[in-house]
Amino acid sequence: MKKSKKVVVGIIDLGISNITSVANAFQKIGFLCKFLNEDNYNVEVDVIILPGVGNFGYLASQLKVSKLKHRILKHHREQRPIIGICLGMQILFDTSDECSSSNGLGLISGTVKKLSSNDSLLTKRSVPNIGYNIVNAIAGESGILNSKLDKLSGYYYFLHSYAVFDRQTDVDLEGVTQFSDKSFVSFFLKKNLCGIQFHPERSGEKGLYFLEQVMEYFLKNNFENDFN
Amino acid sequence: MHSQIPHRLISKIEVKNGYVVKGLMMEGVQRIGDPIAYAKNYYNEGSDELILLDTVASLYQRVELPAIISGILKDTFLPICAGGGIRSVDDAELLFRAGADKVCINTSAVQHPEVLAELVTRFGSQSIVSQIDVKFYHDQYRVFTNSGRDLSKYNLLEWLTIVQEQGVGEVLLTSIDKDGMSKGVDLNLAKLARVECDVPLIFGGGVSSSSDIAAIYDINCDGCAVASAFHFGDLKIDEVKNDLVTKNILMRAS
Repeated sequence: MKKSKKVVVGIIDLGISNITSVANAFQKIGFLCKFLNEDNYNVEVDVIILPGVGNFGYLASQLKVSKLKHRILKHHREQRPIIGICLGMQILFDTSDECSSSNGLGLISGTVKKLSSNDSLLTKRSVPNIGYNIVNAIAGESGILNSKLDKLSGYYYFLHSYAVFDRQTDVDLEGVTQFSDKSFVSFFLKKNLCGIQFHPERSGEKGLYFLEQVMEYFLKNNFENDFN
Repeated sequence: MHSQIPHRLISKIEVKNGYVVKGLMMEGVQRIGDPIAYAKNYYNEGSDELILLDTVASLYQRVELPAIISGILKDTFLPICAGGGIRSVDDAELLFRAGADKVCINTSAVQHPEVLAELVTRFGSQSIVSQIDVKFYHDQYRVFTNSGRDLSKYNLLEWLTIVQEQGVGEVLLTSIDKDGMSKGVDLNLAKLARVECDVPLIFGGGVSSSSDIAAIYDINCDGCAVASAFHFGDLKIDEVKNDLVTKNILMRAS
């Protein structure tokens, strides 16, 4: 892999996310971070990060009237890397039960659904899902990162009430997590898209390792030309 | 499968005028040290989360935690719940922008419960925590505001019902009677609240040993918040976790 220029990570800033901590994490693992906002939506970046805290409908309504939406769609049309974190992952899909009147970006087909817990009172896991939970990394057909499945699996920090339950097709790598009697998609790598339901920027050194591997995947595989 | 999910061991830092402070039953506060240094230490020891409270913010109606949060998050990567003096969506937004993952609200919610629903609509229920400080008073658990100074009109169960109707995603419950004493916890209070609480419950106040923590987890509280015993070195997070693991309690390895 040639790394003739420093890879630039562009973090979408719609004023509703904890963008600083996401930036801190990417800086810690050696990437240059820029913020993309209404005024600076067209700054050249290699990887777009879509962080997310909040409500699906609110984020969708903010994106709808923002130049950033077109910036993200253009980046995707060019098959360049996009990483969605938490609500930022959910907004990559078509719709969410959290706000049925709003549309997501629709880069991946599917609906985000509410978590539910059917356990008995004294053993139950309450909704929202807050805290550390196990991610089981599962190999995709491409075999990418297969040697690192064990190290990628383990505890990560979750903070959400909604999730994607339908497993994706044609993924390069994915993670699933058990919540009550169901399992949901806790992350996926699929061509130029990465969705992460948990918060790697909040999951200690393990979370940083995870982000490093995601970036490594983008740099090594699909996008060699972009980074030459 | 739920046995896969570890309970959270949470360090709690109360701040006043830029210092870590700790009172006895929320009174007679003493200065302890620099909150950023304490937070980094707790992160390195394996704290699962950090609660950061400005103890005088609601009294003086100000929000001054953002700078401390930014300082902590420069090179620590743990979740932060911040609170103290939040009255509006704008106040909360300052904390979220500084890097808080969750905010907790007590005083202003008791004055205007609907502020909780406004915050939930804007930020999602998973990020809005109801901070409830309770004292045993005239034969019942009563909710207090302004860091334990003022008696509210609600008892615990009334207030738990209201905050859940407003849509909060988590409850942080503290026993004022036990807080800061490091002499054991009020398990009756934890049990009572657990039964009435459908969202994650963090319990604290008076934790003095890993047995206290094990008992709180045994009631199925999602998390246990510890302040004094960590601040004064009576308990160390990594040692407590090791101890709990030997008691067959699942903890996140850090």
